[in-house]
Amino acid sequence: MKNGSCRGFTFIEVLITLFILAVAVAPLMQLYATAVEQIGYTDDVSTALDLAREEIEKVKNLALTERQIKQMGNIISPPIRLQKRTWYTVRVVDPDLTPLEVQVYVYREKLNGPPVVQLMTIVNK
Amino acid sequence: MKKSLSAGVTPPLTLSLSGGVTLVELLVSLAVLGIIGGVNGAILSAGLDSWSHIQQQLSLQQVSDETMGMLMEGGFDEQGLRDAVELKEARTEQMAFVPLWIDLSHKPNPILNKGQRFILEKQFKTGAAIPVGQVRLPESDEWQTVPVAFESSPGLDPKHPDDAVTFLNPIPLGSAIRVIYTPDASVHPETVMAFRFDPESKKIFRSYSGKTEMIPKRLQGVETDRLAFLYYDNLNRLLPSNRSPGSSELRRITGVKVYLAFSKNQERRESTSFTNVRNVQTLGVTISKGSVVPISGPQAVRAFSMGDLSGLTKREGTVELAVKSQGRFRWKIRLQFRAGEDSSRLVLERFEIQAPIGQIRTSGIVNQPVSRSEFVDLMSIDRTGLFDYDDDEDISDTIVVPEGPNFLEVTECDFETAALFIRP
Repeated sequence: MKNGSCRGFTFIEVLITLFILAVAVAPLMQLYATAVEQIGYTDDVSTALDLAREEIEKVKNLALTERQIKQMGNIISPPIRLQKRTWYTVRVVDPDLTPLEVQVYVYREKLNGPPVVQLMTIVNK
Repeated sequence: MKKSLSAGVTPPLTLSLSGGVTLVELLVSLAVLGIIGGVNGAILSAGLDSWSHIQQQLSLQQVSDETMGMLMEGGFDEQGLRDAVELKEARTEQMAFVPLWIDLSHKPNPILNKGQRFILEKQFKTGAAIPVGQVRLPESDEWQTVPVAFESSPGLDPKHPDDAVTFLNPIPLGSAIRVIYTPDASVHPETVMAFRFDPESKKIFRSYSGKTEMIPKRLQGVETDRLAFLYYDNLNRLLPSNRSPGSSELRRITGVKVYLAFSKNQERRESTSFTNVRNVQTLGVTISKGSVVPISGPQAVRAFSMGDLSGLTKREGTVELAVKSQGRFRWKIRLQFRAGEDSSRLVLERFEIQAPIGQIRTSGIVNQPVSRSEFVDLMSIDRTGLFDYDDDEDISDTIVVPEGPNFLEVTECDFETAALFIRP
């Protein structure tokens, strides 16, 4: 761009300006998208934590001994729809450990993949 | 776009100090302004949308967490569902229970009350766990449990309670005290806490201690769409909740699931929470026809009894328990009861043991009266000890059930509910 008070912007200059503007604005848009995504993720973790705690309370609600709980083995709860998503809760018992350790995994949408949360409790009854 | 100063044929795309702006320059500027304005508008709109979405989500999350906390845990010096010691009503949209009573009515006075004996504010429920005394030292926020002696009196006049506790250690000057105990809700109906969802006004109400209030107090523009209570027995089986259970149904409930749904504008949030109501836990596993309970082999079982029988609608009733191992029923006991002369009692008339199924190994007339809450020892019902479900040290037991995943199935049960107590 030449410097002079009698010259205007060329079309190319205008296009470059718009391109720079677009490049500068893209991260801003990304920021908003990330903020919304982050809120969604926090919401998912909160829901998954509630479901994991629920499963642990259910283990405590069982009037069964450690041995009987071991005998019941690993349990996949029926899928549940919450916050427009499908959730799976899996209870895993380690038959070799005393006192009994119960691990609870909560998955979002599908069972194969990393769990959203994992909690553990010790059962001694 | 070519610049021409001389000919004037092509409109000059320049900022001219002398000649103003041409129409084309103005149009191009407006177009550029339009594009920039459009982009800015899109950014602002996206920002506002995400801000509004985040605000709504946060309000929903906050109201949802606060409501669930108030239902489950209560609040400061208040009780929640987890502290229930007795269930009174269990419906889908409302429930009532008795939480432990926190008696804060006493002021220690070392001159007027040297003996540190305090009359309880409410009548104590006979048979409940003894009261707990607590002291909060001056300038402390924490309550410490201290030893107390309890004196129970038979008086049931709510205007003149007469149960008392005596604090055994000196109460430091300036301390606060409180006593926690199970109140007799039949004498003091105000000790019953009730939660109710009103679908008309879309509000949740809590009634306790003579007051009814909305929870949570501040809704921040959030609307309560639904509150539902689901009830479970101690094998985590969902109990029918479309009717108000009678007393025998209430006794089966050991777990309560709370479902909450809130909405604000276009956003919606659902949450659930489950609590094991520990204080109302009954002895043994609650069973009914079709129940399946894991059981060890006879070599490992050390206690095996059945009791808490309720809901017999006929004069006579049968309970049949069968043990399944490796896909086959291996052992079965059949017990026949009849109603006793007193409605709180039953008579165990006879028993029969089959092993394997179809082959009666032993049977006998018992005619033993049992109270409905009493447990019948199933390991000593066969006096010979040969065919019962255990491994007696000095007897050559004839019942052999392989170790492994064995399950006991309730194949027949004329009672609405009963309890099994099995311990290895």
